[in-house]
Amino acid sequence: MSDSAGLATWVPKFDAWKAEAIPMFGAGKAKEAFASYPWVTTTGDPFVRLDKPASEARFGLITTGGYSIEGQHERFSGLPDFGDSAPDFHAIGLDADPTTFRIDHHGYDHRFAKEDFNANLPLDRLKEMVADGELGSVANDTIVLMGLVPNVAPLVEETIPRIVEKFRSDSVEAALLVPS
Amino acid sequence: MSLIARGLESAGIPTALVSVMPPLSSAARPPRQLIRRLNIGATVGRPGDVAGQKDTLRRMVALIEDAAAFGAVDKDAKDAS
Repeated sequence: MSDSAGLATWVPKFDAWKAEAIPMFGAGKAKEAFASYPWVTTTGDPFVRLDKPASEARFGLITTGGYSIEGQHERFSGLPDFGDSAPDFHAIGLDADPTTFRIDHHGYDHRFAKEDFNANLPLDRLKEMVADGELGSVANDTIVLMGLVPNVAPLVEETIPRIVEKFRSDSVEAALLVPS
Repeated sequence: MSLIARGLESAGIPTALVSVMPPLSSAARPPRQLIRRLNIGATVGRPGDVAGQKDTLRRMVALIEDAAAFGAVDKDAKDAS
């Protein structure tokens, strides 16, 4: 994993920021706290080409919209997690019933997604593009995370390899990433 | 999200990220990025705007098919709504 190398120098900066930021969050000053957030410095330019037309390729979707399915998933906490645990993700099936969708993420306005989940979870659009022959196919499971991951070390070292594994097991050949 | 894109790309899976907050998404240098003038929470398109949502996805797919090198960006014009 190319970005693991940069974490050794980043973690002390993050720990220093966290010590100052956590009391600010407690005081309702999240915006001020994130203004001094130490973005991780990435090195290397990972880039691969798709070796076939999109009309023949299998696409996977990832969103940080914080969706869960009632009765199937544990709720996301909905708030930034400063700890060392790896961020979890939920798998949402291509034909999941949208009436069971729940949004746990407290960091964005849900009114658009509540009106039409395709605004940030575009499953209907992708299915239409497959039906029209624009895309070969769409992965069985969409990967849904919470955004708001200040401690990127466990994300890079644990969660991202799990996402890669999940997509590989679903024969995904290209990925579309939709933040919220 | 840019780190996830980089991780997938390092594992051999090409990616495209859509962003409505380019200062945040660009900090970690994603391989391919579509920058749109849309709202947080409606990153793909407005509710019910089927054509607009599909336009975002088509432009992401085009980046995956056509971009020649790392750091490719497709960006809405300044006057786009």
